[in-house]
Order: sequence, then C-alpha cells, then structure tokens
Amino acid sequence: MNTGFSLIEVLVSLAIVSLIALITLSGLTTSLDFNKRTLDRSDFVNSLVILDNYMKKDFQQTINRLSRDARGSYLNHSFFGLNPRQEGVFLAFTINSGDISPNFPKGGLRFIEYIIEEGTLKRVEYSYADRTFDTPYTSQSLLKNVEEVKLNFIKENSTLEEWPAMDWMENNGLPNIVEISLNINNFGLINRRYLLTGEAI
Amino acid sequence: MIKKKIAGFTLIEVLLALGILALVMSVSLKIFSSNAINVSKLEQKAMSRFVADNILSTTVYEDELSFERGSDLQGGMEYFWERKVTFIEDGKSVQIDITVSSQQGLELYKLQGYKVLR
Repeated sequence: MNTGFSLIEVLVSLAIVSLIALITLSGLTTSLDFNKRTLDRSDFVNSLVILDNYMKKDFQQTINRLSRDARGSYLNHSFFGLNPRQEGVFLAFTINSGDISPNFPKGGLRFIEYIIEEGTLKRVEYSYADRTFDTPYTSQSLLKNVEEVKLNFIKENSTLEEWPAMDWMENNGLPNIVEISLNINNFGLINRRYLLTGEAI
Repeated sequence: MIKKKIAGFTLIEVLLALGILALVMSVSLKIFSSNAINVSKLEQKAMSRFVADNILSTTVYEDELSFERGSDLQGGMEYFWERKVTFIEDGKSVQIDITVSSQQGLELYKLQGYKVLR
C-alpha cells in the first residue's frame, strides 16, 4: 500500500510553504526597517535637543573675560566666533559654570570650544579658563551629519558674520545674540538664536 | 490490519495558524506605526520649542513691542507663531505669550516671558 506523498504533492506543498514564508518575511523586514528608521530619527531629535540645551546653557553662562591660552599669554578677546568653511573651532569663549568644588580651585570658570570635524559637531570643555598644555578637558560629539554651520552675531541692531570684527583691536565684549543655523543631512535647516546675558568680571 | 492515519493538517488547523501569524504581524505593525507617530510628535514639539525660544530671544532687544505673527522653517517643516504682548498695570513691564502651531493649526508649544521696559 502506498502511504507516502507523490512528488507533485510534495512540490505543491513546498511551493505553498515558501510563498507564505516569503510574504511573512518581506512584511516583517519592511516593518523592522521602518522601525529602525523611526528609532534613528528619534535618536537624532534627541541629540539635537541635547546640543540645544548645551548651547543655551553655555551662552547664558558666557562671561566677558580675557582668558589665557596654553602659552600663557592673554587672549585679545573674550569671545571668538567664525563662520567655518573648513574643519576646526568655530566658537570659543569662557563660561562661569557655577560649579565650585575643591578639585577646581579656580571656581566654576571653564573654557569652551565648539568644533566641527568631519561633519560631526563637538563640544570641548577645559577644566580651567586659563589653560596650560596639560589642562584636562572633555570632548563630546553632539551631532552628526552636519553639512554646514552658519553664524551671525547681533550687537545693538547690527549683525556681524564674525566675532570679533576684523577692525576691533581691543576686546569688544560679548554679542547680544548668537544666531546659529545648522544644515543637517537628511533633516534640513535648523535656526537658533541664543541670548548672551553675561557681564564682565 | 490497522489502517494508519494519514498525518497531516486539517484545513481548520492551517487557517488557525495563518490567523495567528496575521494577528502577530498586525500587532507588530501597529506598535511600529504608533512609534513613528510618537517620534514625529516629539520632533514637532522640539522644533516648536526652538521657534518659540528664537522669538523670545529677539523680543528682549526689541523696543516697540506689539502683537506679531509669522512662520519659521525648522527641519523642513513650517511652524506658525503668534506673539501676544500684554502691558502689566505698573506700566514698567510686559507679559509676552508665544504660541506655536503646526500647519494644521494644532497648538504645539506655549511660552510665557516677562520683560522690564527701559
């Protein structure tokens, strides 16, 4: 007695099974891919909000102070801002973070730099405002896929593209508002205006 | 001689299995899509906060304050803002209310600030 399946039966059942598997798998991969894109977007928005918080706080705490560079000489200006056409530092200034602990005898003063490096926006915080060659610092990558950074500095109704302006020989203090626009790959343009309220000490 | 029972699935069993499969897939799809909706809502919220913050920043240095409205592009999406100015009784300060809405007119973010007049 023949109790097995015929070749045709096996082939037909295999075809049906593979069809079902194909449909299931394609549906599953599409939804997983969709979910991954959603998560990436959420991560990106998250990092954007973190960057915004850092910048907002930094500019609130910016002070008009001539700090010293690693060679020990005083900087000519307390605030530096450049429109970056290439890699490197585009913002440099001193903040009073208010974080005073025994480990930091110079109080809460910190030197801050914002850097663009291979499309990544970084924030560097030096533990002291007056740096030496071995001043400890922390560097954080805050945002990826940055295509372009554009800056404007507003002081008493005039807008400057660079701070300090070319013809300022002596320290001209802080701008009133720093305008930053970031062109981000796959997201678009972000425009932010930050207030600087710091006073000289 | 005992007749062997042919081991196979009945139509009901196959249908049941397919039904369970469909259910699982639809649930996972639903979770993912609600995830996506939440993320875009969060994004709108974050961007509208940027818009409101920007308006408040410029308000600080404006001398003549009055009701104003406009729109701002953030991350490829347009957001509509409204700035209301209310003079406080002492005449020395104003209350500033900024409301940001989406293109569909949905209110996304509200920001309130005070300014001392010079």
